[in-house]
Order: sequence, then C-alpha cells, then structure tokens
Amino acid sequence: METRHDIGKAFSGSLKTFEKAPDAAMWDSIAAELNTSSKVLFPIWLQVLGGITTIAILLTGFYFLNDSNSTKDTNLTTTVPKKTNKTKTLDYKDVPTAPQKQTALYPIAAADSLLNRKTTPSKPKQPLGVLNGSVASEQKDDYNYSSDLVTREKQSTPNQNQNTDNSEASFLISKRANSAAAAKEDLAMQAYLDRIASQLEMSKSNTYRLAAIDYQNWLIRQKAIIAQNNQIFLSKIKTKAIAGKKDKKKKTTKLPRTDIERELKRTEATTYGWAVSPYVSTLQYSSFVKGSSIDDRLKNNPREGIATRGYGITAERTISEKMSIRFGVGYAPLQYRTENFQVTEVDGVLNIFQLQAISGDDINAGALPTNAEATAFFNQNDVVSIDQEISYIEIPVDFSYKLINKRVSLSTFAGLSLLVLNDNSIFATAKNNRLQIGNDRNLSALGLGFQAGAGLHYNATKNWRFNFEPVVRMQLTPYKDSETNFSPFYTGLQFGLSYKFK
Amino acid sequence: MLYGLCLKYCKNKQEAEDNLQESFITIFKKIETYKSKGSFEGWMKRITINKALDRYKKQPYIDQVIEDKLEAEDTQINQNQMTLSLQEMLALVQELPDRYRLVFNLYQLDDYSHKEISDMLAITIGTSKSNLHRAKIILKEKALAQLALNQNTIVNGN
Repeated sequence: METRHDIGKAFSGSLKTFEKAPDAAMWDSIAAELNTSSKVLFPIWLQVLGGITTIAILLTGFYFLNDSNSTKDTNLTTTVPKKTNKTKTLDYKDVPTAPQKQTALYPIAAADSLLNRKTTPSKPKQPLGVLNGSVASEQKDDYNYSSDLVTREKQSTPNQNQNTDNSEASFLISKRANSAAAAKEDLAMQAYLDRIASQLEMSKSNTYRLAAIDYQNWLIRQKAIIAQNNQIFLSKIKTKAIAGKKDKKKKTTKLPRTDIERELKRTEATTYGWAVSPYVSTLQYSSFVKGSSIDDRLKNNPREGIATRGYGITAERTISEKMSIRFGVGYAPLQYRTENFQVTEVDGVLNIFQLQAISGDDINAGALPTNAEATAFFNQNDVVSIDQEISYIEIPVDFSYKLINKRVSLSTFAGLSLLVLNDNSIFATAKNNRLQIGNDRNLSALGLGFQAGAGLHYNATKNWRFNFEPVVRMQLTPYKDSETNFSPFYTGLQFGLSYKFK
Repeated sequence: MLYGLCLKYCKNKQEAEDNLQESFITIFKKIETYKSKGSFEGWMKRITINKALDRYKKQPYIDQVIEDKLEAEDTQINQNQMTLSLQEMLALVQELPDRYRLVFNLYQLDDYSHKEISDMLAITIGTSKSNLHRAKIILKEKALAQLALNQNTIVNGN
C-alpha cells in the first residue's frame, strides 16, 4: 500500500536538521572582512581626530625621548670606589618603564661613561658593573678585584664624576703596586675591560631595544585608551541613532505585484461600505428652449450662462459591489445674462422696471427711480445687460451604478434634488458698472430637480478615491408661473476626493 | 549551523558563502545589541535568514500564478519513492526561483507562519500561500525527474 505525503514534509524531514561546516578558508575570509569592516566603522572625522591624537602622542613621546637623551649628562651615574665587599649590579629594574621619563637612558649613560674612560690606558679602568646578575658573576671569575671595586652609586653632577674617576685610578694604582704580578694583572685587567666594554655595548643596544619596546607598549596602551574612548563615544552615538530610528517605519523592499496581489489590492480598493466625497464644481446655467425667465419679449435678445463655481459634499452607501445610493448637500450659484437691453422711458416709467419678472423692491418699482445712484446709472447707460444671480442649496439623492469597478472605475448615476432658493437678484450692468434693479419674483423658493451624470473614478488606495463627474441638473419646478417659456438646467463638472471606509 | 542555513536559502554554494560572510560581519557588528532575551543561536539564525531575505527579495520577480489553479494541483508524493539523497534535495531547493525558495524555507523548514512570512517579504498572506504551493509543485516535478534519472542510471549502469 502506498503512503502518500506532502512533498514539503518529505523535504523538511530531511533538510530541517541539515547542517554543514564551511571551508576553513571561509573563516580567514570572514576574519579579514571583519578587520576591514571594523576600520570602516569609524567615520572620517573620527579617523582624522584619531590621527591627530596619535601624531600628538608620537610627538610628545619623541619630545620626551629627546629630552632624556639631552639630559643624560646630568644623569650620569658612576661608581664610588670604596673598599667594600658589596657588589651592586645594574638590573633592568633600574630601567624606567616609560620612555618619557628623564631617567630612561640611565644605564646607557653609565656605559658611555665607562667606555670613555677606557680610552685612557695609564689609568686602569674601573669595572662599573653590568646589567644583570649573570654578568656580575662572570666578572668575579675573571677579575679578583672586582668584588672590591665594582660598586655603583648615582652621582648628581659631572664634577663629582671626575672626582670619582680620580679616586678610582688612585685606588687601582695602589693596589697594583702592592701586587707581585702587576704585568699579568694588567693583561688580565685589559682582557676584563675589553670584555666589559663588549658587554656594555651589548647592553647599550639591549637598552635601546628595551626602551623601544617599552615605548611601543606605551603607545599601544595609549592607542587602546583612545580606541576605548572612541568606542564609548560611538556607542553613545549608536544608542541615540537607534532611539531615533525606533519611531521610523521599518523599511521594506517593494516587490512588483503579482496578479493575485493586484487582484487583492483592486478588490480592497473597490470594496467599501461608505464613501464621503467633498467636491468643487464648475457650473453653467442654460435653458432647453429659446425663452427668457424675465420676460418673453426678451427671447430674441442674446443670452448666455456665466460659469460659476459651486461646492458640496456627498455620502455614498454601497448596496452591492456595483450599486450604491448617494446623499448630499451642495451650493450652486448660477448666473444668466440677457444682453442688449435698450432702456427707454415709456409713460414716465423706465421699461426695465416694466419687465414681467422684475420686482423692483429696492428702487421704486414701476416708476422712475428716485435713487440718485440709479438715476445717474441710467442717464449714462441706455443699453444695458440684465444679469440674474440665482443660487440654490441642493440636496440630491442619487442612485449610482458602476459600469466598471476596478482601480479606474466608471459609473453612472441619476436622481432627484431638492433645490432651496438661496439668492435671487437682478442687476443692470454696463461698462463694468452694475446696479441692482430687483428680484425675479417668479422664482420658486423650493424646487425640484432631476440630475443625471457619469463618474470617472481612480481608486488610489483602500481609503482614497479621486472623482471626476460631469452632471446635468434639470430644474423641474423652478417658477411659480408655470406658463413661463423657459426650461432652465445647469451643467456641472465636479472634481472631488472620496474617503472610503467600511 | 549557519552555513547549512545559508545553503538552504541561497541558490548556490558561492552565494551561500557570501551570505554567511555578510551574516557574520553583521553579527559581530551588532553583537552589543544582543540583549540575551532569546537564545544566541536563534539570534544569529534570524540575522542569517534576514540577510538571505534581503539578498533575494530585492530581485524583481513577476508571479503569474493563479491561486485557484494552484490549489487544484497535487503536491503529494509517494513516500516510498522519495529516495533522493540529502545533497540532491538541497540542490532541488536551491534551484527554486528566489521567492519560492524563501517562502518554502521559511514555512517548511523554519516553521514561520504565512502571516510572519507576509510581513517579512512584504507580500500578502495569499501570495505567501500560493508561492509555497507553487514551490511544492516545482519540487515535486523536479524530484520525480531526478528519481527517474537515478533509476535510469541504476538500470543502465551509466
């Protein structure tokens, strides 16, 4: 019987615990990379600072080193000839550990002193000592007087050194005079001195070497201290940087979307419960028939709607994936102009005040205006344009159907509006001057409109959508007098933004 | 441990070594940030996996897979048939397309959930599932082909 398993489990069963060690060379490569990268850790300014600090330390060390060399004469140490069994040998503990100290080259100074004296053959040289205990032992073997002679004390001035040399010479000569084998002793003495000189040369180079090592060690310690301080400083900077980054959004790499992802995103962007959409619109007032809302006699005058700007907000509630109902409220200011009106006086009354719709509330309706401004206006302008300014508060209810419901969607809608008259004024205008001549008394305060339109939408994100909606709104009951030969409507191009949510 | 992880997540030995090197450098650089809250091994493992993810999720990849179609395809295999060696299985995993390999490793070998994978790779859960499914289908096809090749080699003695 066959046992079937998911292939993923078959692989995981084998590979889950898979382990393998890399080649040995891999670790060298990692180590080399780590060394390189650790240097890169320091920013340029820190590297410059570190360089300056290092140079300063080097110069300081060099200064003190030179200072020690220059003062070696004043730090000479030599021996004081005393008839004593004590033998003091120089040891490395006498060598200062830090090169900046003035006594750093003290053993070398002592050696130089002895070597200089060796050049005077008439005076036997005083073996001053050696740099370690083993040399001192050899000294005892080669020269019997060494235990009496080899003594070393520090002297503070060159004069004292000179005195000490004289004492040594006298002492040696007196000893040799008492010896029966002076010549033999001289040879032995010479051999010994040669050997001491050789040892001192060696010790001199050793001392230089040790001083250099000490100096290097000291430099390393200083560098370590600087590096430690730098590390502390860097840690503080890193801590601040990490704290600053915590609030930032984690950066993720953007991959091209798959079909499934695109479909999910599209669905996400086009699926919502509610959408609130503010908009602005450009409005144009017009009429389906050739007439005038002011007076039928003006039907042959040139007329035109003037573009205005409205605004509003709608709330959309989806019924299904493609259908929705919209409610809203908007403000629609409209302007309509009738041109070339000849103002004349008929029976003592200006004809402009005799138009059917005019209600000259402000300026002596039906008679010559007594208002000085109006009199002056009409005296100067006998041909005027009549401008109507009408504004409505719209309360629309629409049914919307989405023809295409994708990232870019297309919809159509239709509905009714309640139109509340908000402004109603008539002006006579000429040469950029205008005079209000009354109101259109035929306009209904409350009307009904029918609107239809199309919507082009771009669903940018899950929550946001851009809208462009051309709409036509026909006024069904705009006038009190139903006999008026005027069928007004206005078009609007609405631009808006929707916020969508569940 | 980490090298084995790199081999599974990378497409070949060279890239696995590169990934291991980058991981170690990151580990040494960030070792001070390790707070001892989890195991150190786990911490290193996460860094290594993240390095591999960074390496391959940058690669553009167009997924043309339709989820419905994928679900219909069988990813079962007869257990007795699975006689592939460890190296052969590793090679098959390495041959997977980058994102399939990442998802397969994360889900199947390192026990991450689809939710976690979707967060790590900035993809949807659905995409993670479909990628895993597609990876299994490819593995099955290649495993069967490799098994047939092995069988043929044994029979013919080549």
